[in-house]
Amino acid sequence: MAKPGKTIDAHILWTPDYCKHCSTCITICPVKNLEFRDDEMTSLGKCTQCLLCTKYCPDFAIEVEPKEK
Amino acid sequence: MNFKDYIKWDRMPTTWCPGCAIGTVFKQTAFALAELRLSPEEMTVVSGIGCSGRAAGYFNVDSVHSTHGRALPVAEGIKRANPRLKVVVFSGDGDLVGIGGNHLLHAARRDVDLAVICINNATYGMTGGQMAPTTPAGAKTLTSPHGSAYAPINIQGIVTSNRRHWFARASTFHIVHLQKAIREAVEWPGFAFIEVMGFCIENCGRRLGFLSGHEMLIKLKTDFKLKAGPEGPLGEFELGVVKNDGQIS
Ligand SMILES: Cc1ncc(C[n+]2csc(CCOP(=O)(O)OP(=O)(O)O)c2C)c(N)n1
Repeated sequence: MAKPGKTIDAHILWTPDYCKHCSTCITICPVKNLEFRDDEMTSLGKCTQCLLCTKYCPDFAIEVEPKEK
Repeated sequence: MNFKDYIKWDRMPTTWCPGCAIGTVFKQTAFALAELRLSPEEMTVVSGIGCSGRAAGYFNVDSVHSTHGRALPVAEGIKRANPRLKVVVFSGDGDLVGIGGNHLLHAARRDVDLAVICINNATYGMTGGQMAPTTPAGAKTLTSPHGSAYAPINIQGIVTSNRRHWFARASTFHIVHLQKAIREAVEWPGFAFIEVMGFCIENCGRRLGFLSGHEMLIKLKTDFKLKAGPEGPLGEFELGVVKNDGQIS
């Protein structure tokens, strides 16, 4: 089964074991919510749950689980 | 079914370079298979050699990583021996169109029931970025340092020269269309070929002046447009589906 991810925001899971640090999620994000700080993915709390990072990540490393508003 | 059931998680992360387009196509294929609710027992994945060929080992279904250029004959053999199976071929442009070009001609002519996903990164990625049949004229590669002198091969022309055909061009930026095309190709009863415009950042893009995979992804966004109408062949920079079920119109 898939390795467990780290919770970096209320609904964003990041799996360091799978992440290759290609930064596709950071640059595709329309609200610039993601950032690397000391090689750790950080969420700046601006996520609008558009799921672009989840869809474009080539390595299954970031997952946004939409919550009901 | 969940897309997670189609992936061998103990093999993750994949060997592909950071930001590689093949990862996106692999993921969208898993999504498409999950939407079709195909059970892993009723399908198989065949691939050739190359970076894209590695995908066969990452799908959690019975799969064959065949020899260079021979993915189509192996897949055709599987389909003929066991017609109940859905056979998906996942390979690169150098593999399917370069060394395996002759097999492509005849598999398309015989209209074998296969879904072929060809990742067109315009280069031989695994061996270091040599010129491929799909390299655009003027592009610099390892073996064409002054720019390729030849026009690229017209895959659409090869596939659609048969009366009954199904051809799609998709890109790794336009993922909704890509996933829809994969679903349609698997369901099409005959030879279905998807040319996925991807990119290779490490062995090809850097030589062309790109700094990251994301820059190449945005280049796909600006270059390619979805075709508006359903009629006629796709233009050089158009994405869409061209099909004919064999009826004379
Ligand atoms: C018969 C044979 N010839 C040549 C090779 C060397 N070789 C390995 S991978 C490759 C290129 C694959 O390119 P492509 O199909 O475009 O896949 P990519 O790596 O770009 O995804 C070549 C020429 C080989 N393995 N076998």
